[in-house]
Amino acid sequence: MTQGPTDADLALLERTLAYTRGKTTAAEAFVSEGESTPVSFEAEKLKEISTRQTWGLGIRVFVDGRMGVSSTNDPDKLEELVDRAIELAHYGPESELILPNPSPDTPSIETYDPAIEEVTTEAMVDAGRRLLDDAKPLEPEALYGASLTHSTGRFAFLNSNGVSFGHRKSGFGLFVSGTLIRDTDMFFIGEGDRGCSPDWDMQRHIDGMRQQIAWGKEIAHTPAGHMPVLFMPRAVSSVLLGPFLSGINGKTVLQGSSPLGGRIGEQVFDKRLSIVDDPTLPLKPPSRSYDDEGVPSRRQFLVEDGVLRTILYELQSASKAGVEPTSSASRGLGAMPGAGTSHLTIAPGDASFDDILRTMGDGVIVERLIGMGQGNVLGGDAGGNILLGYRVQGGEVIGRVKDTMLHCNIYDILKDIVAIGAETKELGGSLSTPAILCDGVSISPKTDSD
Amino acid sequence: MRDEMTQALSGHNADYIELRLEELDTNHISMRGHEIDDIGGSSSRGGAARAYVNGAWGFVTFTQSDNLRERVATAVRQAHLASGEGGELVRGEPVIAEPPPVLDNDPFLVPLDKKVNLLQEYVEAMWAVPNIQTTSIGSGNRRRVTHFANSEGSYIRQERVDVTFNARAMARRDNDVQQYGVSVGSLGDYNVLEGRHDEMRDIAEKAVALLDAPQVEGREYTVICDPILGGVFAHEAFGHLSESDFVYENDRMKEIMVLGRRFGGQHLNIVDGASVPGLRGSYHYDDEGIPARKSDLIREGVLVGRLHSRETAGKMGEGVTGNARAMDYRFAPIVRMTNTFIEPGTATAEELISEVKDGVYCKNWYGGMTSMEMFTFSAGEAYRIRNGRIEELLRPVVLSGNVFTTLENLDAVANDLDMNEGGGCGKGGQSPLPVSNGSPHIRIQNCLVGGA
Repeated sequence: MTQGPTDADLALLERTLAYTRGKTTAAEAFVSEGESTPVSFEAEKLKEISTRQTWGLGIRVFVDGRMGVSSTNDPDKLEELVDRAIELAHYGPESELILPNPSPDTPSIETYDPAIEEVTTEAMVDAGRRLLDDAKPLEPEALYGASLTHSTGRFAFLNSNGVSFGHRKSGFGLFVSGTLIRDTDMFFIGEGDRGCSPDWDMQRHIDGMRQQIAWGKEIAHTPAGHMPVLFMPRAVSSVLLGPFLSGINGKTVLQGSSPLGGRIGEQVFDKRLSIVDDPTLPLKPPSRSYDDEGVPSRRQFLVEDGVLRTILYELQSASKAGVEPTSSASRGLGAMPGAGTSHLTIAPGDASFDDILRTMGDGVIVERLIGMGQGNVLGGDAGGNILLGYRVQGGEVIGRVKDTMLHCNIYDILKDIVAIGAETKELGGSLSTPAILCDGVSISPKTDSD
Repeated sequence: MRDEMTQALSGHNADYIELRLEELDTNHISMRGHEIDDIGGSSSRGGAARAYVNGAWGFVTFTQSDNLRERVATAVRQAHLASGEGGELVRGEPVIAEPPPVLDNDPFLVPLDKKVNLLQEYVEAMWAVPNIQTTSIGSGNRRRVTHFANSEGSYIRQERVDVTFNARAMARRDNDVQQYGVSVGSLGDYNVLEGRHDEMRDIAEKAVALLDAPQVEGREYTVICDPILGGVFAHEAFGHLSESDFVYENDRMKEIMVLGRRFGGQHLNIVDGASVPGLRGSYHYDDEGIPARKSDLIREGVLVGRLHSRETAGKMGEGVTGNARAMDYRFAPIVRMTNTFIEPGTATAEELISEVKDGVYCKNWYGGMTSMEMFTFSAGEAYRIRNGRIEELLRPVVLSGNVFTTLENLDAVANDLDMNEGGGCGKGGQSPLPVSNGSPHIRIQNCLVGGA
């Protein structure tokens, strides 16, 4: 049901491309539209109800072997839009890329759940109130907030070879957070999830916060040194994946600045590590039938048994590297497409959570960090200040880690993983991952003396 | 436009209503290596209506500017649906103003070929250094024209042009990749991008030098921050904590951030102000139509003020400060910093360094982040200090601390205030908001420095 652009979108895209004829060698146009209704609670009170609408039309044109992009949100200014892109293309990147042709067999991926149409603002307000009512008894001294949102969106695409497609997306998100302040100690907890379908199950978020409070309410002393660290699913996402994803970006590799360049087929990580990028899973927010340049979607291993399998290429970097594009293009209005991932799955291992803690003995569990993405990310450096993490001693969680920094190089610590959890967690509908235990992670606490 | 907006605002039942109509234009060029990697532009029009009823907001954004009256009515309806908990906004005087934009050299009037040529010259300057693996460089401009009207009878038209530039060089040896870069920016002045050829060579040389630099041992040191990093420190370590939306409904935070609390020594003075002219965080009126001003936050080590919106000021019974800012029409205004800086002291930077036995001299920055009490920020360039002398170059370091102890440990402020206009600030999904921050050289005792 979601494979074709609407007649109105297609007509607009055709009118847009008509202005490019005779002035360009090839062109593509797309429309993206969205509407969301966030409801937010602050300090346990309903604070704001919003309605947000966005609409934009973007194009890319190819002129004399160069390309340019532009965008507008005024459907009456199509000619200006095209002229501006052509002017920019005069100075734009040289390109020999060939736009895709219509392909007969494209997977049909469902990304829209009609149940989203039944969600009312009143129902979201009620759900938010219930969420706060359920959270409050967990730790009555904490102050809680919540946000809920539901959204719908459309993306429609047409290129000058006649590839056209459209997808509709539905979205639903629910987040709850709490802050417990005692003297100047601030303890931040929170849970939540998003996906394509309405999901009113709040119990798992309440359970998650109950666990955070049980483990973290008291502060535990943490010594400095290199030690085993258990990266919980959120930390796998923020700490371990970030540098890796910049390293497998085709542009970074083409420039020679990625440590993963030229290493496809090589054992880069521990052989138990496998990462799959799959845009064909139904009802996941990043799923799609085609990528944003009209290349049909496909499931692919990024890492298989520790071996690097894929570098991500959109059309331009694929053309420059002399390889096939990997159906990885994503694009915003007024910018060139880039390469990125869709839904990622990291394969689970066989260790139960208790096994992992026993194996760890003395170490740290890390859930959330702040200050990520600083330092030499391309080189694999990852680190930051532990916002939510716990001290483990003798295989038991003894309290929260505070005022402590974590630093590691992912290419070092993922070479020999200590253990991978058997349980996986789905995060934001875009990553499914177990917890991963690594050794030799640098932990630097601030000493007690000041 | 004013009449149309005024009409759309009249006759609704709400405590306060505001309407913004905006024009946004952007363009950018970026190069990776010797080639242009991205060149593009966008043009959009849109608006936002916001209504306050009894302590809660309704907020509507749109891209088609017809039916303004109906958009406002929707915001009012939503505010009524959310209302009920009570609350009082600070009222403002009606303002009718169209202040002229700051446009010393409008980047939108600079021909495209001139912009491309400048970037190409800079790229050549970086590649003149041996052992460079690659470079990335980019410049961008954003024009935001805002028509603001509210139920108090204000109509304000403002135009701001934001200019940004960044350059980075990467050096590689085997699997070791090191990089160094700068970010600069201005309010409406393309000229700040020009004449930086020597600086580009310097960036490339530093990236190469980092390949041979050792990593610092992770522990506490006495740290000297240069004015750029000192400014990031003022912004991250303290500035965010002074934003009242984190405080106004949280009794515990109110206790912690009580005016009169001592945060540091007599030598510590921190201010924020959009009325400081000509900087990236400067403007005449905020996005709630409140006049900009300059606010003392810390005076002689003591907390004396904080940053407010109409709502936070009303709830806390304090005066508005003109710090409610929105990225653009897609967002509601929230409490934000503008130009934040540590005021200069009397010592020289050399004196600060000469007294350090065992320390790290940190310059430039990659970024920073805060979670209220805890902050981290990272230096792009760092050197060991031993016995008062700057010695070997180190790999980039991450500094981290707890604001309550670190401001106490800030024991010396030099006399060489300088503003950094290369950064943008992110909060509540609104990023990057143009801000500036600055500081003289500062010294922090017992500062946690992250290393491997």
